[in-house]
Amino acid sequence: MDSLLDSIRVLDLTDEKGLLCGRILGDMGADVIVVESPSGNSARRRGPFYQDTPHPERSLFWFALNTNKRSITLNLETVDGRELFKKLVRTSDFVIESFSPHHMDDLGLGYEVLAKLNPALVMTSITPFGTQGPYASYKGADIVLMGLSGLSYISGEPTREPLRIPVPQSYFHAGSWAAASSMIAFYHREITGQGQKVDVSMQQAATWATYSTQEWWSYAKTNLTRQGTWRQIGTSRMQVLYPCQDGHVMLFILGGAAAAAGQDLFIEWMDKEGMCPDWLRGFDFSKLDVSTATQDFFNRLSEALVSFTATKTKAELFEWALENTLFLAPVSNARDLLENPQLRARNFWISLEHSELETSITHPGPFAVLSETPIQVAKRAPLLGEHNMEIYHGELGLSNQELALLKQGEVI
Amino acid sequence: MEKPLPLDGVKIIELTRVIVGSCTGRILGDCGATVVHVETAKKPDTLRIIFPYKDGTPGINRAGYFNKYNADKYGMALDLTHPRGIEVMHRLIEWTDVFIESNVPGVVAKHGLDYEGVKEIKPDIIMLSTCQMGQKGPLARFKGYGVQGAAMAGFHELTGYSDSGPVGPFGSYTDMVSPQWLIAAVVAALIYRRRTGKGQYIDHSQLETGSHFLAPLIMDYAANKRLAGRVGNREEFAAPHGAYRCKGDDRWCTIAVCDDEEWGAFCRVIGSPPWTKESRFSSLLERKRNEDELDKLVESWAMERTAEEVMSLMQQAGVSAGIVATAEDLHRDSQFRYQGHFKLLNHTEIGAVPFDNPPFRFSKTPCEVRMSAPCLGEHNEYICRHILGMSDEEFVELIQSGALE
Repeated sequence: MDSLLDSIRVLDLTDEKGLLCGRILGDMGADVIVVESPSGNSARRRGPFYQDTPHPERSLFWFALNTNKRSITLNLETVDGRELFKKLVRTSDFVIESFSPHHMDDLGLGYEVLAKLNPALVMTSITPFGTQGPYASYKGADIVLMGLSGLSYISGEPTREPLRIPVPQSYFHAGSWAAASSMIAFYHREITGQGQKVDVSMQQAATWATYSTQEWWSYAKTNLTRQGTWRQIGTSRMQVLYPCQDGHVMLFILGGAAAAAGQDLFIEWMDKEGMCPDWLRGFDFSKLDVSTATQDFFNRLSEALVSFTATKTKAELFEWALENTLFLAPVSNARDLLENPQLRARNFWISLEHSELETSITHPGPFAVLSETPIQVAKRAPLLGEHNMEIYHGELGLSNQELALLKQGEVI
Repeated sequence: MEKPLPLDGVKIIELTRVIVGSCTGRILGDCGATVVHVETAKKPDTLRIIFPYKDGTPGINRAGYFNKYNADKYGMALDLTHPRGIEVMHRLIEWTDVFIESNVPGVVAKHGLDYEGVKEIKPDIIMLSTCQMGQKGPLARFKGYGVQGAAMAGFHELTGYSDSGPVGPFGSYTDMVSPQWLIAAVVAALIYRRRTGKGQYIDHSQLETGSHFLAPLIMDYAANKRLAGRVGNREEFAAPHGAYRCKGDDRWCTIAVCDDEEWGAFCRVIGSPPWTKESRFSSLLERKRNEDELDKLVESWAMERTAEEVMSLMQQAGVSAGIVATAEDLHRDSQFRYQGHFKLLNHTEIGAVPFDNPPFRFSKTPCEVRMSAPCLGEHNEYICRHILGMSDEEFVELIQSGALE
């Protein structure tokens, strides 16, 4: 079947900071080749691992980000390695890399050099802070980028430390923005024949995930702050995360007629079970203006709701909310997600066979449903150098003898 | 002559609300596409009617949240329930390459603007629908915002302190992880159309891209049946690794020490006090075993210094560190200033306000945000006359019909 990026080739030199970019391009049908050092991509050493056994061929982190890719090993620190890389560049459309700024230049593989070999090449660099500027040489661990982007400051309890999300979000933001910007550059090249260099900053990518934080400052000279399980709504704070029997749910109470209908029914349900305080019985939500409601109101509301939700399960509450239109959703864990009826109905979870491990592993599938060129998540992440023969021998025409030589020279 | 932009000539119509669809169009607009944002005064975009407003004064054209995602677009206010309104919409569909909508499933179909409908007007159109759950399926009817979507996608369950319940990221986080993929998909679809002549329909669920951003931990359950717990700021392969309180009111600096070399550098920065030489901190394994103690010691050092000082001392020594930026900090961040991340643009009603530039730079076709977000219906005339090529008479007649708002 046709794919969106049929016959487009990507050389993926990234580590965990940028691997998502190649996954997105690969899912759209590009031929993505991860070029790994002979010791393997550092993301292979990231947990979690299959059956908790750390091993470069068992990293679930690696599996998640490398479906649909092929792998070759290549030591870019050697002359032969660089020559082979240049050969590959001649037949490629994209080079994506996430080394320290200017590392590719130092290797003699900077954009200027590669563009001479292939003027149509799009070369994308993913770095913590961009390749130029006062922070360009700074190190950017995920927690650091989450802090510097403004995301952490607003996540967590008001009196405790700001939080990160325990999967490196800045890497994923950067990888997905790299896919977006690389495609835009590629469009320009389709029209003009001109490739170019794309510079993606992880700090900037993550700061695009901070809602209206920047505008709260520039429009209203206000710093948004951490709000724990409550959220600032107008002048007061409303509890939004509620404990229930088997976890938590998120619930927003709103004013106005549209929201009131479901909320009225919810209060009736509480009342039927003898759990509605007198003041709340018959409360007119259609007249509620949440932006001016008092803190005392929200505190009393929270008290009433907490004791009720605690007697129900996530599924019971969500089922009810769907039927009666209440702004409530379960706080899902991984099991809930894998069992989520919507994700199942859309065939989102894809099971890929890992025959070396004698098992199949469930992966997140197509990121969208396309009518003409469906996204196919068909191939598990490659083993280290799995496609050396196929690419070096089959496509570049190196002889077996030459390959053996390169292997002994620790080039591949 | 103006510098070429990479998406020069690409035409986009939006019938979008809130964040994902509008943000997708915004970036495409920054990169040169001509974007027409169609909305209605009868049911204004939620982002137009929530804080923050310029100088705290509410007003439909004063909302920062709307402006952020709608720069570099022409704005049209159109009544789609009016026969002349839908006629204008059809002409826009005929004109456009891409149609982006982000309504609750079923809403655009009511106006005959579902894929089947628009394809009849423009057979090779590329249409993108984005919503919480996707167009079809047992939960497609779910009504909610990205805040609920983020909880359902798993972000809240995982984000929190090890000794407390879920806290979650701040807001509608699944909205924050989606536009990037959609920009890539829309542009890829444009290229595919150039090559084959075929348009297509893209059905996107924000829950799904949300799940991709947590993939390793979801796969951990799928493969190992382990439900990841909340770990605060801890990371298995690093210590110290956290946000540490610094001098001042609610000031923090993150520090991540990932290997022995960085630990050596870290110790030198803090003046190698005796505790750094104790065996309980001598190796990563020992530091992980005694991490609570370690964090207290690190914080007691940090609290004597400003967050900026901690960041700069650590980074100069090769240790990853950074202040936990407030909104105000973002606006004065020296790297952002160097990159011109914020650009002041003049907005018709509220004057000069800063807009975020895209998080990437092109060497040959630099893209910057160029035009402030539109007031409601600001470009009605421009769109009718210059984009749709209406005559004076036709335009006046359209105004008189009441279809323009």
